[in-house]
Amino acid sequence: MGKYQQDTDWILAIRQDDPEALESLYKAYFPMILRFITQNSGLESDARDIFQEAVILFYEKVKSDSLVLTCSIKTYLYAVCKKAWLKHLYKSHRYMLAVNETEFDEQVEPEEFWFSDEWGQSLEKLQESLLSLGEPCRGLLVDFYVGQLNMQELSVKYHYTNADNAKNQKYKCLQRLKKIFFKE
Amino acid sequence: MKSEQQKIEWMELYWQDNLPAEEKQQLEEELKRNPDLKREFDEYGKIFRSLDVLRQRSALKAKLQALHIQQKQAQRWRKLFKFNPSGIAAAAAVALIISISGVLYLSVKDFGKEDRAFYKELKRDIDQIKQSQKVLWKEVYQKNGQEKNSGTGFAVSSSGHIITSYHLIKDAESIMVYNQEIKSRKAKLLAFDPIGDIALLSIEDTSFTGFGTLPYKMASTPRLLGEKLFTLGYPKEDIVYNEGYISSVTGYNNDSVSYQVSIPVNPGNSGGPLLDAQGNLIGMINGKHKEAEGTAFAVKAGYIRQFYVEKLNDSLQHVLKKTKSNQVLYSRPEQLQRLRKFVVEVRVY
Repeated sequence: MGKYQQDTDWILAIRQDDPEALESLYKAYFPMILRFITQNSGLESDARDIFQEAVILFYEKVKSDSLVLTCSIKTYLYAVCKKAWLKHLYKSHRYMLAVNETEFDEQVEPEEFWFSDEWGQSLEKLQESLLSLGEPCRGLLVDFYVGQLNMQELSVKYHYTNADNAKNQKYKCLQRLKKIFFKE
Repeated sequence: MKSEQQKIEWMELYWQDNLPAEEKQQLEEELKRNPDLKREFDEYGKIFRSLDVLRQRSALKAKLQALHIQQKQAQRWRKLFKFNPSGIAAAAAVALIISISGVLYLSVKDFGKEDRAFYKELKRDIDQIKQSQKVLWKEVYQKNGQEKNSGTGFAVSSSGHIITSYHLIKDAESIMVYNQEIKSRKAKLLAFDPIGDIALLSIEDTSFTGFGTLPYKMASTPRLLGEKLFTLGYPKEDIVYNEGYISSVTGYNNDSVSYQVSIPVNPGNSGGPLLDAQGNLIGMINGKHKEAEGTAFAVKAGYIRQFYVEKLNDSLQHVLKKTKSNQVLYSRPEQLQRLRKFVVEVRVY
């Protein structure tokens, strides 16, 4: 764990954008989640996806100061991953659990708000809308808003004659995206 | 009154907090007066904010992904050499071993710049195709819009796991697999091995009901010089059959995890299955010699098996062992008729 002796060190480091914070967090706690998931009919890739999602939520909450931590980070991450994995197992009808309860270093209260992801639903909907938007609209919007390409780069990638054309296209796509997103 | 596009642009600037104070005030006043505009404004607001969260999460995810690979590699070294972190002597020994095996490891399959020139990966590169077969392909690629390149893959489980070559999908934003029987399905990357040039995909589509029982098994012993073999692949939109023989039991630069095969292959054959006369899977096509025509390279089945044993713990280990090959009872066209369902075109966007 090196320079992060206490949980508060990690939280401070994340707030200050210390690039080592995530690395040491990964090193310290991924093996625990890997063990849990592979013992419960998951693959390493499942462990990776679940753990990364939990870290992302944790990171966002630390950054936005909305984290209410009533236990250690270890317990927090374990609980979030466990819950997410159980949900996944239930969904795929493969529920069977061999939890090693000693992983918990303290009593955990199953409080809903820990796991709440206020963006989860709208992001899911956004992804769906983007998919049904089709190409090249999806690619164009994702490259601009997520990949942060500029109009010049976009016009080259998508074979528009100039940046203005790409921009017009982007707004047309955006209009269609809004329509699909708010359809229901 | 502003045009539709200007209006959205205006709102976007507002949500990004980039609108000059004066215009901001103007917009706010207009919002008060015009409830329709206000509704539209809120809707775009939600989309812009969602896109922003998506951006932040994607960036974070990429960082974590890099950490993951980095730590897996560290872990592999530890496993290989039973790394004992306590004790300086042990650490020094490990450092030494790493530097020695670094050389060994590179010599397995690392193409120096000069050598590389003669080794050609077989993904179907749009630009390259455009140049050589401009007229022939034009229509196809215009229709497909953003397709980056395409190649071949084959099923290794009845539930939808597919092996293909890593170089094909390494820059993929999204991956679709396609053949006549299963139609177009979205796939995701489960695991990969850049050194062996192998990737494992799984079909994500919930409506996908499975491939059915696999008609081939993975060859358990390495094949000998001269063994007759055939491959199926997608150098064009329809499946293409080719046959040949093993011309060397080592691959490019004496690479021991590959075969050199004498078989006509084209861009698009990358990731295709290599089968023997009985229909056993003996490897995967991944490249060809740039100069010598008809000389291709294929990763050996043993290495592919090792790959998914290592990457997937235990859950897929026995997938290909279980299935029985009774292909010998059939004539080649009948054999192919049964096989073609399990060979897919991998389209990378």
